[in-house]
Amino acid sequence: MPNDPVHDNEMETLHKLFQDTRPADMGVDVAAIIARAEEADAQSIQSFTHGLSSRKNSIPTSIWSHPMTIRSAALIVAAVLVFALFIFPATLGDKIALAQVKERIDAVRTVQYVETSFAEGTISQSPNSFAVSEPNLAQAIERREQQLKTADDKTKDDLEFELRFMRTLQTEKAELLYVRRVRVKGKQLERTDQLFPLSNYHVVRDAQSGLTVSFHKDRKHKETLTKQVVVKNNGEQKESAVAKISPSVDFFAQFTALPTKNVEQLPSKVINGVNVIGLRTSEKQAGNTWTRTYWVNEQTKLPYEIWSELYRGTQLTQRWVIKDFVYDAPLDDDLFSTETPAGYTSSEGTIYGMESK
Amino acid sequence: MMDQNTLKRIRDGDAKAFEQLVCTYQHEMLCIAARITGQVADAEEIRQLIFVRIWQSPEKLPHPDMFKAWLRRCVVNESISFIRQQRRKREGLLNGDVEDQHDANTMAEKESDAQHLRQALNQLEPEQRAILSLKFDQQMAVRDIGLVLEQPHTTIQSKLERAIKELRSLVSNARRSRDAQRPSPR
Repeated sequence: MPNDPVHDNEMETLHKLFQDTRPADMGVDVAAIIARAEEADAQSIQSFTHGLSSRKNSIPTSIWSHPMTIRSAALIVAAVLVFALFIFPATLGDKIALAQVKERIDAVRTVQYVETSFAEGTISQSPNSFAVSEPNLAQAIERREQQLKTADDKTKDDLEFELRFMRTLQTEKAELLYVRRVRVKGKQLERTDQLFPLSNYHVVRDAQSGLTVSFHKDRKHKETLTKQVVVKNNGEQKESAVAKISPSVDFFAQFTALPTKNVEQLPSKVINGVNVIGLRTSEKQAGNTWTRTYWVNEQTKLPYEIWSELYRGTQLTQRWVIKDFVYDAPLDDDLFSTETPAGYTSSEGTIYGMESK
Repeated sequence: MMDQNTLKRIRDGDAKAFEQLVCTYQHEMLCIAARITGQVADAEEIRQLIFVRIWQSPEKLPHPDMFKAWLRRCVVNESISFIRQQRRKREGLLNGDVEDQHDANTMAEKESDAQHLRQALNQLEPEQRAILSLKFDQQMAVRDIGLVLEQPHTTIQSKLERAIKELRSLVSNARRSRDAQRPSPR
């Protein structure tokens, strides 16, 4: 393993340890299985959908993803890496509010927000909740509190920001899957910092060039995505150069593309002292239902919070919250640098996706 | 590896073909599930549940080329789901409860590497256990693990490295603890 401090002899030791401690082979009574299967309620099998065959349903965890195509399948997997593939509804449409929102969004020069995802129900019903299993928020907070004691000024700002946000999550009852801080500049540059779990890397995307680069702090390593491999339904793999995603980063591109129909207008409410208008959409995709609620600041006509929920049948399985929006604040160009930092190694990487049916 | 004909026969309800599938993969499935759940009995139940579902819904079986990865993913997902359900059931209890579930006759086993490994694995995240099992039990390449778990191989590589480091530390601690409890030679 390159850059891996775990030496070969240790790998061998671990390998031997695992082999020596494999559980004994307990035979299976095939007749009993068949009998059990035939007795079972037919409805009990409906959740059996989380193998590779349902992969196209399990990948799009970011709340902004599109219906799957061959191209977008690969790109959605890229989202797992870059934490930046966005989903917006096919429809949104209070006629006046939406037009104003879109107009205001179009005028935005920079935007920052935090995206948080929670698992609801069991993992077998929760798409891609496997990606982050059983994170421990308390430990993540404690780790940052320790780091804060010796942090320089620049790092201190980031740590304090992360701590503030994470502490607000401690009251959540659902299981936290991930927290990502996203900063966008000029509609084409995007930086995503993974805050939880693990906060040891960030990803920079340039929507104009299609460049996607990840920086791993712990390993002092930079990886540039240059190839994509799409695994077809017949098992064949097709390799190609990474496709460009959009002329602008997804946050802007998807808002621009929003249609203006079939939107439910919700009663106004107050969030953190801010008057907001709710616009709710519902969309069915591959047996799943997405509902998305855009809480728009009445005064600025810009999104204040965005909630997204994924249902399988009537079961809520995963939800996302985007909040802490900051619009048009100056963002340093260095944040979006794709240059190799001093002391870093670099390599080219590949992303994998599945062909959609 | 499952061939097209065998899978077709299973779809047609051929019990013999199904038995062939069971015999081919039963131990591997048990091994992965046991590493993740920490309990062979739980692993047996998970394995049986998956076989039951395969027999009930053979039309869901993937292409033969993808079958093995698909099956492994089913085992991993079911095992992690099982752990979550168990954790929710005992929400509010301390982590040490796992030890309380063991009966007295496992005390002697605690001296063994198997017990140290199991204890160490139980302290890792379920996903880490899955990656370690696929790597060291099934001897899979990082790229193949990535395909099974639907994650980029670079992500798997990073997670594997981290899991190994944590496992190494936990196993070492367990051994040191055991050695410290042994009477010193006079």
